[in-house]
Amino acid sequence: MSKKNHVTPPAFAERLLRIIYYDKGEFTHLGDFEEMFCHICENKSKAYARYWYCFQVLKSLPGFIKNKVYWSTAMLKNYLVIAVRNVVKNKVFPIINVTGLAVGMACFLLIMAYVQHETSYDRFHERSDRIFRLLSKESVQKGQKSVEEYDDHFPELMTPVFVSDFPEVKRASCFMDAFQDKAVLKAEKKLFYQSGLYADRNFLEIFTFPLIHGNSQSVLSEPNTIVITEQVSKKLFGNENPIGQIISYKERRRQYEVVVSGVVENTPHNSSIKFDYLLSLATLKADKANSFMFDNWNVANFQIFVMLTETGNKTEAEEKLTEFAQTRRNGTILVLQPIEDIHLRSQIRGELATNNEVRYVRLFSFIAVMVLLIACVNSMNLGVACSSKRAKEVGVRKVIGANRRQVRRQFLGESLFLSVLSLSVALLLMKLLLPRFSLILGVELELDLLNNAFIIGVMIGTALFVALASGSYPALMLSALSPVSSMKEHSISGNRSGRLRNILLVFQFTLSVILIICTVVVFRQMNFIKSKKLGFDREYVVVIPVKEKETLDKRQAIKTSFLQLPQVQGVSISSGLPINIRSRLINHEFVRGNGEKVRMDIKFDYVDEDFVDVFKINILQGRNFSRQFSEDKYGVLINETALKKIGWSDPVGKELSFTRDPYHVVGVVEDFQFATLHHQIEPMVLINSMGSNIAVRIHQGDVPAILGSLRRTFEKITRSQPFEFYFLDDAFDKLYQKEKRTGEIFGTFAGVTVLIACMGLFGLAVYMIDRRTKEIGIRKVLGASVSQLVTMLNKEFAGLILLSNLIAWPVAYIIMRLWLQDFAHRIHMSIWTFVFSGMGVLLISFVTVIFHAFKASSSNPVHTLRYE
Amino acid sequence: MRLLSRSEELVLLAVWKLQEDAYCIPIRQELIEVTGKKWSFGSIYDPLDRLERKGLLKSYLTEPVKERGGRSKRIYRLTSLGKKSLMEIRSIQDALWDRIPSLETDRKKT
Repeated sequence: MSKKNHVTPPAFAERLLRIIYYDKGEFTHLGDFEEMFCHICENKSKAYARYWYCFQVLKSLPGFIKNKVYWSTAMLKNYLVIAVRNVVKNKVFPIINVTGLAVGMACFLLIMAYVQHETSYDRFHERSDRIFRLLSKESVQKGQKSVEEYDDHFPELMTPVFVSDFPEVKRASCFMDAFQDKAVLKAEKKLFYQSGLYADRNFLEIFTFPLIHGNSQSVLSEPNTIVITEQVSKKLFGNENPIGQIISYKERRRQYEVVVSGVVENTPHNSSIKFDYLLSLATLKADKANSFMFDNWNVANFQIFVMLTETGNKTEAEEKLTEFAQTRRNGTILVLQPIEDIHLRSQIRGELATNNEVRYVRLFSFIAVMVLLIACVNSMNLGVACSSKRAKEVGVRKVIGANRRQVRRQFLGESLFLSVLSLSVALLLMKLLLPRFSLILGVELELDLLNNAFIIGVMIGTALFVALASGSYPALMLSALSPVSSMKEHSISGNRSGRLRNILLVFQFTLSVILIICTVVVFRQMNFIKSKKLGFDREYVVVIPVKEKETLDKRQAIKTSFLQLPQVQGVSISSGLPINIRSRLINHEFVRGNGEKVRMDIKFDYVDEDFVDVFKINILQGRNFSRQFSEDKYGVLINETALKKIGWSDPVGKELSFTRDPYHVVGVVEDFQFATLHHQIEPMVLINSMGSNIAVRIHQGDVPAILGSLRRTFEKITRSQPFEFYFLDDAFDKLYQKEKRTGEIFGTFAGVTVLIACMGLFGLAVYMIDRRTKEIGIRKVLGASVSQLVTMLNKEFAGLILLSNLIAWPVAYIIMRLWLQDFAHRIHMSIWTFVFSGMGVLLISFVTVIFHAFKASSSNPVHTLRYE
Repeated sequence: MRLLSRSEELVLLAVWKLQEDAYCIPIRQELIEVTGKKWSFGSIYDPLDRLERKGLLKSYLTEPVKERGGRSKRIYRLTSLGKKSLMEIRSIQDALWDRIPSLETDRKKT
């Protein structure tokens, strides 16, 4: 046989043969077959040899498979019987194990559902990876640091230039968010407040908001057309086809009669761009009053989104756009922000929708992993405790002939069975808890398992992970034992498994204590905020925001007639409310008493003369505005901080120049907290004028009745805007929603971890005490009292829990210090918070252990000694 | 000691006959020639494995051979136990044959 025409057998058959005849990895059988193959090759034909070879291999396949299946299931029945017997015999352990795991998994899955929801934002657009929002970047000096600030408003004139001059840009669309005001949509006497956008004709071509009626290329191109969502269509027109219907559209400054040209599906809950209607931008263009927006490069009112071409490179496009922008205004840097980043990675003032932060999502994911880890550790702990009782079983199995792999498979299989059982319980729990969880987080979470490959993947992954994590220790440890040593009692309960158990226990309780301390600190900070003296009274104030021009004209009349109601204490009309004064004069110049000039930023608000009374703000110097003094038309009040910063010794009568009109200081008000407590109080000035918020202070009493009479009075004067209101303290609470949410999440998970950890502790206690039944009996016979025994049994755990406390305190301290740094006004973390949290956990664990310890100690020594 | 099965006995005899060349293919060839029946590879491997486990055979690997795709042969040799049990079988069979009348006469009757 020469080397040249050496023929090899078919590769796939050879590979198959390799699997079937493993032969200690030496594959001499393969050699036999190949030799035979060559032999046939020489004597007969190549084709026949191939045929022969394949046939030989395939012939052995059925037998091979049959053997494999038979031998791998031969013991299955026995394993199942043993597993069931173990569950029935121990009862407590499997129940604790499954409950703990299920609760942990349910928490994990809940948070994963949330994380998935948060990361799914804006990914539903068909070409979401090519859609970008245009931002301009600016470096701003803030104190010592230079901070990059982004702005997302641009002139409309830019949009057509992008498409015509830049090959990378496939489409561009601009829209305006109507200054986030709600507009009144009215059709056939039905009127509703809705919020929407002025969008140009390309809007629906870039974004994937499917149209139910109408054509996406033309619906927004004509003036005086509107596209409404399904929901609005239902509200205004019922089940009729709304196309061609007339809607009268009103907002504070504008008023149009528009024709419905399309109906779009409701915006998905995971969209950053949310709207109830889209008014065609052509409507605004056609209106002469708005021409300033469309022929001016300096009026930046519009958000611009671009869609790049398939080949368009983001960085190149950014460079080119910046180059272009520099020709218009020096120093402008344009950045393209991927639409998928808007929800989690963007902090621009006045975002379209409430944003989240990546770090919150990360924090939650971290907690989720921790909870799952605790549950796994718990299960592992119980698994170890339980399985040490089964060392004898393993010994017997090995003597009969089980090999290591079989024992390993048995234990892993059992823990897989438990974890799958837990998973089903977890799913049930998740289903029950999801509505409540959605409520806490303020997002609509849905449990759509079948269409959600991610969640299914996570669930199966979790089950496998838990099975592996909790089954691996017993599987590896027990399978490694030699039959002789496993038959001798106590051999497994030696130091190694005991130490591991203790480490796991300490780990669990450390995490629990950390979470409890965090919860306590968060709640104390929240209480502190609630009870903090704000400098104004936020209770019993009803705020009616004016959103429409006609009503705005009549606000004085509304105020007068409100004042005639007996239940009304006072009415004030202002632009901002004491909880959120945001308007700011930048770098304004003040002249000090000695002629020195200072420049600083100052907040301002337009208020009328009743503002101070309605919100019960104290006046320190001078007086309030009054209608009796005509010069008060240009009067202002400044706050204490402003006074200190400017440094006037005698502020009343000092002149200020905001516009050409000569303003002068009438009085000084006590500092009040007009931003959230994350911020220090800044200098502020109240200017005598009016705004669009009507604030009504009402007497305590029958609130619904008072609201009813307010409504009637309001509707008597104006019908062009629905009567909508909110309470000032509700709005105040909303400012701290994120913190409140964090607190509640921490609270929930702290509770869950403590629950899981205690279940684990209980299981361990039962196990440990059972082991020491005889010892307890002997001690009792020798004269130990019940209380002595209980103390003895508790001591072991108490030490471990104290250790966990020692580890947890500094960690919790560091975490919470970071969190509190966000607040300008914050509590001091006292040592007592830590001590009490630690003691609380200790107490709970005592209660857990003591129950069983007491039962064991008070039993009759005769029985305990006869045990086993 | 346990008796050997027929196939084990035959394989054992073939190994003894082939001496230094006793690996699967010649063994199979030998058996096919002698018995005139088909012997599959599996029907050789199985008795070989069993005999080795019982300690009647031992095996070693040769240098890699080219026409075997660079793999070694597994050559089997009889152990002393193997020889002993072959001899034992022989003596049992001889004893049995000695006790019965000749088969030739039997056949004529039927």
